[in-house]
Amino acid sequence: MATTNEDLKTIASQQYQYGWVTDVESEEAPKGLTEDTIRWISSKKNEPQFMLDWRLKAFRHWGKLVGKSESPTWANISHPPIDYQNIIYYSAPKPKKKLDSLDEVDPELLSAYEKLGIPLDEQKRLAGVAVDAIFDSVSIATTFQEELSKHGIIFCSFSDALQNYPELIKKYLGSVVPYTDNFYACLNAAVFSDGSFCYVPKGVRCPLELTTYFRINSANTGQFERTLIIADEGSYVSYLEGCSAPIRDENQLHAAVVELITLDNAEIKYSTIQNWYPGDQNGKGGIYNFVTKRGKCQGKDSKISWTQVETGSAITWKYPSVILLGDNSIGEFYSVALTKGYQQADTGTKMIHIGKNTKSKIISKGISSGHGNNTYRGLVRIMPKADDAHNFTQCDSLLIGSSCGAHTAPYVEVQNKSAHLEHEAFTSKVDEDKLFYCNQRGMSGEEAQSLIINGFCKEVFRELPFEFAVEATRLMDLNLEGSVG
Amino acid sequence: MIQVEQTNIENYLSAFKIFEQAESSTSSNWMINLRRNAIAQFENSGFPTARRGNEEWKYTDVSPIAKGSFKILHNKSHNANQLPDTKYQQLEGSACHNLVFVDGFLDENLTNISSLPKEVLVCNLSDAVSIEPTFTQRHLAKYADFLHHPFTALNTAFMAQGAFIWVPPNISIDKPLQVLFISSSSNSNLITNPRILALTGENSKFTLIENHSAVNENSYLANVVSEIVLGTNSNVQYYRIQQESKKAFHISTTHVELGKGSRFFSMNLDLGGEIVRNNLNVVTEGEDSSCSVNGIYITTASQHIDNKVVINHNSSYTTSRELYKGILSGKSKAIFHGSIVVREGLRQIDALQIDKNLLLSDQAQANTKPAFWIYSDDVKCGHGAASGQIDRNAIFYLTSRGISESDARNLLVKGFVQEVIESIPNKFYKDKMDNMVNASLLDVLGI
Amino acid sequence: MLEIKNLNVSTDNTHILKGISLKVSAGEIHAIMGPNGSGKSSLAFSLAGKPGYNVTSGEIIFDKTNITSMEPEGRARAGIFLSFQHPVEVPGVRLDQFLRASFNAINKSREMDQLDPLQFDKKLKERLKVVDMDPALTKRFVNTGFSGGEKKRNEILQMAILQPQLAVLDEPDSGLDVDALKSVADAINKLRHSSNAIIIITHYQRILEYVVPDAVHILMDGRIVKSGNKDLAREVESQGYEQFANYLSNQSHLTEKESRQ
Repeated sequence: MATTNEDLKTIASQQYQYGWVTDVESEEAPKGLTEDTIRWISSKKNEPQFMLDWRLKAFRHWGKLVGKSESPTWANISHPPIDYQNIIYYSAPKPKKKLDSLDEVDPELLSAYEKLGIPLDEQKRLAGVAVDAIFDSVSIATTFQEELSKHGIIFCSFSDALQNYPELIKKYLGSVVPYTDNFYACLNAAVFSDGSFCYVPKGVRCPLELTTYFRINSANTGQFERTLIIADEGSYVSYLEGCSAPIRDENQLHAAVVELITLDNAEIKYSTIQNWYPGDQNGKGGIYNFVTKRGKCQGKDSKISWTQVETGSAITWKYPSVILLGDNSIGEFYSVALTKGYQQADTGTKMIHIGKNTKSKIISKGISSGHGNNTYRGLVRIMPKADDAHNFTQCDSLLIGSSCGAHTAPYVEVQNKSAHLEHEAFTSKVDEDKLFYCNQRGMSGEEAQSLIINGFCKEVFRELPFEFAVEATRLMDLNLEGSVG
Repeated sequence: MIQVEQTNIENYLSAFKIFEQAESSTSSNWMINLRRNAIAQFENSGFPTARRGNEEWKYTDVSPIAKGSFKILHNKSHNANQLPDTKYQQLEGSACHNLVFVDGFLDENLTNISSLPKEVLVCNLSDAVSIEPTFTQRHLAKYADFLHHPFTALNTAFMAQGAFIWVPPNISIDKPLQVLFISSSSNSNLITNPRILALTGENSKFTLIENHSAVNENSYLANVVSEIVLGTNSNVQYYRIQQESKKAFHISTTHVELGKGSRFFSMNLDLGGEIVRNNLNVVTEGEDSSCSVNGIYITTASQHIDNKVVINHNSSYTTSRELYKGILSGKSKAIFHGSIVVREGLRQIDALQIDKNLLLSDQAQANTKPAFWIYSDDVKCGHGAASGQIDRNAIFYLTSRGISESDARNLLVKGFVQEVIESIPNKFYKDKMDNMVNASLLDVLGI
Repeated sequence: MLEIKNLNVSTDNTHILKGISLKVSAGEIHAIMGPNGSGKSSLAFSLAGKPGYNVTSGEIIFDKTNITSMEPEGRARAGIFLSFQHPVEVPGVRLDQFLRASFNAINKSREMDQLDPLQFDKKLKERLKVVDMDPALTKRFVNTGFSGGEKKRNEILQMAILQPQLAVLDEPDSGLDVDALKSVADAINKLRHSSNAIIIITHYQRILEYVVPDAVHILMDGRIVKSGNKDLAREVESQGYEQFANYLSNQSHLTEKESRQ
């Protein structure tokens, strides 16, 4: 049989590869959410008073939102109501004793990360990549800290940062995503457990790729991490996060917050390869990935670039955004989102142009197959004082099979006449002429499909650091591996 | 504030009682039930609010309408002689078959439909109910959904007079049929609920002009609903010219159903109105049908013009094209939402949507929301949107050829909307639209 | 090498090839000429097995194997190459990567060595010289933004790399100016040898001035109405296709008669 779209319609998803559970003893907060839970988490982490106060303010605000049942309903997703009292908000592997070095980390945990392809021990580390490993609610290890500290770069868990650099946290926490921002960001502000913190000092170009690897392990837990990255004047950092979780029948909530800040002439490149457990073939289980990510180009001539490859999660709800405050600042968003099985993704970006001569670029590639539903939702807003702002948006969708959906909902708001905006979108199925051309050159249906889809995603993949681009390509192939008869 | 709104709803409810009484002698039971059903819907929903999460009205705040106290005229009170001749001339009465409504009531002096082909039925909607009761009942209010749209519900509750058009199979009407809705009253704060029901038979062809115009620069509310149903292989050109008073509120819904193989062309020209919202819904009910929907909006001062265009691809092998362009000046605000919806399990859908805005002032605002909702894989859908000001390089290019800067500007502004005008298939209307756009640009921008 | 026996093909319920028979031996060049809509491209697609071209009767025998219902990649691996009249753009896929994927897929099926990027790059450079093509094009996306001439040359480059036994060139000359035509023809001549065969499909005879065919067949309305040597191509050039119209009516008359019997 020749390859036709018919064949592509019978895509059988590859078994999720990261679905195993690590057997470690955990220390958990009691199930449910009250002020006591928050005090419990805060005291567990020995937090300064200002942190507890902030959490409590957030919790009280969240209480009001719950009271008015104001969880967001505008996205093109559907799920049963979430019982917030049936979630464990804190779960950490029990330390055997106080850790002095990586050698003392539970070998079970080290081997778990090794299985994920993220070796943490000295000899096997990935060259040129510093890793912060987050397991359920806490950071278990951060590599290359010494090397980074030579450059004055702080890269550590959020908990460590609270102990060692409270003034930095106090200054920047919530300055991009205030706890009042939205329902899930508010919940995160109240209960977040750990995350990564990074500060790159003036004029320093971070010599390593910084990586945080998130792993949900325990059942019934939610993961609420918070990442804060500050790039001081003239600095540069490239940061990558990866995520995975065991196969479980129930849905688990992941509500993270990421805040990025660039001062004058600084640049942050933030990449995500999101591969949370997507649920099974029938849509059972999987992670609800409700994440708020936002960067603020505070200084002039600064740049924030988001790249995301979203292949996992039962539901993805995230809009990595950039507030272009500094004159001449640049915001970019590159995204590949794949939905298969019964996955739902409602993702995109917001580019808020405030400063003069600011530029933004949005490239979004959605691929829908099976019963997946994929929505691009984006906002480009040009404020009245943003003279000579430029935006280019391109959001394309590819449909594989007749039971999936591909949707595009961009919002463009222009309040300054000197703005220049272009928006293009295109939706189609995998082109049969392209398939035939590849077949005629000897490639099988599957090879041809993989080639065409990777070509479709190329503009996004080439924004990823090299090793991760390879990883992303492989992930797409695995996810779309089908039976071509 | 909530109380104010409720009182106003009460006003409409009590007006409805008087209206129902006045219409009772001429209304059949199904009509009475239809209106009661609609007023109940309106009572239940009230006016839409721009509350967070209400995507439908995200950019248009209709609270000035909700808070206003608009009166319904229960009987014909105008005097046709008050209409200045120049106004009527301006509306090109002689080039068309004309059906004229003044302040909501049919004006028999101005109406001239005697030279229409005899097979064609064009009459007052209230007469159609008695001339063709079954036919009217089968189609009236069956397309424009009043269950989810408060303004449509309000119109349906108060519908009485309007245009009824039936073009039977194989009939082609030479001159366009113009339905003129004129606001002439010197009293402010009237509400009219103009209504059109147009149906075409197999292989028929005609041009419909829906023209909204005013004699005085008053504040009033025109709440319009048009239903246009195209039979198999029929061809309809639809020109919608909105030149209401600059203080008026204009809310309209045009619902178009495309039968198998039918062709629909529309051109919407927005020149007047303080707050304007036009809903255009096109449903491709039959295979091989196609539509080309186009619009120009020229806004100035504090005008707010919102065009929402929804194309529902409901059958295979259907094509849609959308092209809207706006020129914004003053503190005006223009919104365009275009949605293309492709139902599950269709084959060969081809849809393209473009919206472009030219901003001429610092305080003008353009919001665009072009969306796709696609549930079939055999599609080719594209959209493009752009906003910007006049290209400085282009001005330089023209001035370097000896053209003055102001002339260069004018040429480029005009050139911007020319693409839409060029899409008009008929030379006569192309020239006519061209003149209207020129007149408006002269009026608004002095060019 | 290739034998087409009474091939009938339909697409979209239209009968487009009506009993084509043709024999091509190793070392030969055959030209198939015909006016627009005569079925030339359909014959090329049928040989390559394009989905949607349904063989209703007849057979295609290639290298002693019946390939009538073989999938396109199988035919490509067996050694049939189609140079497309309208080469397809594959955005995001670099030409050199595409060529290596194709080369390795074919080699793999023949249990031959696959080349890594460095080895392949060497081969590619050498082949680029044969077809006189700008190496910079191999770093661009397949056919994306290529000029008409670049696309055609790219097809011949692929033929040079894959070295098929049978190359079907569908209008390799269309859209080329005279210099480009000479250079493409030159490349084709360099690639012909005693163990491969080439079918050139064309509307005009001008490419046949440079690539001299062993046989010329006139295709009209889905039938081969006349076969001859290279002089037949000149006849078309001077007198047009109309002269063959009566062959056609005679023949259809014949078939009708035959079918009645």
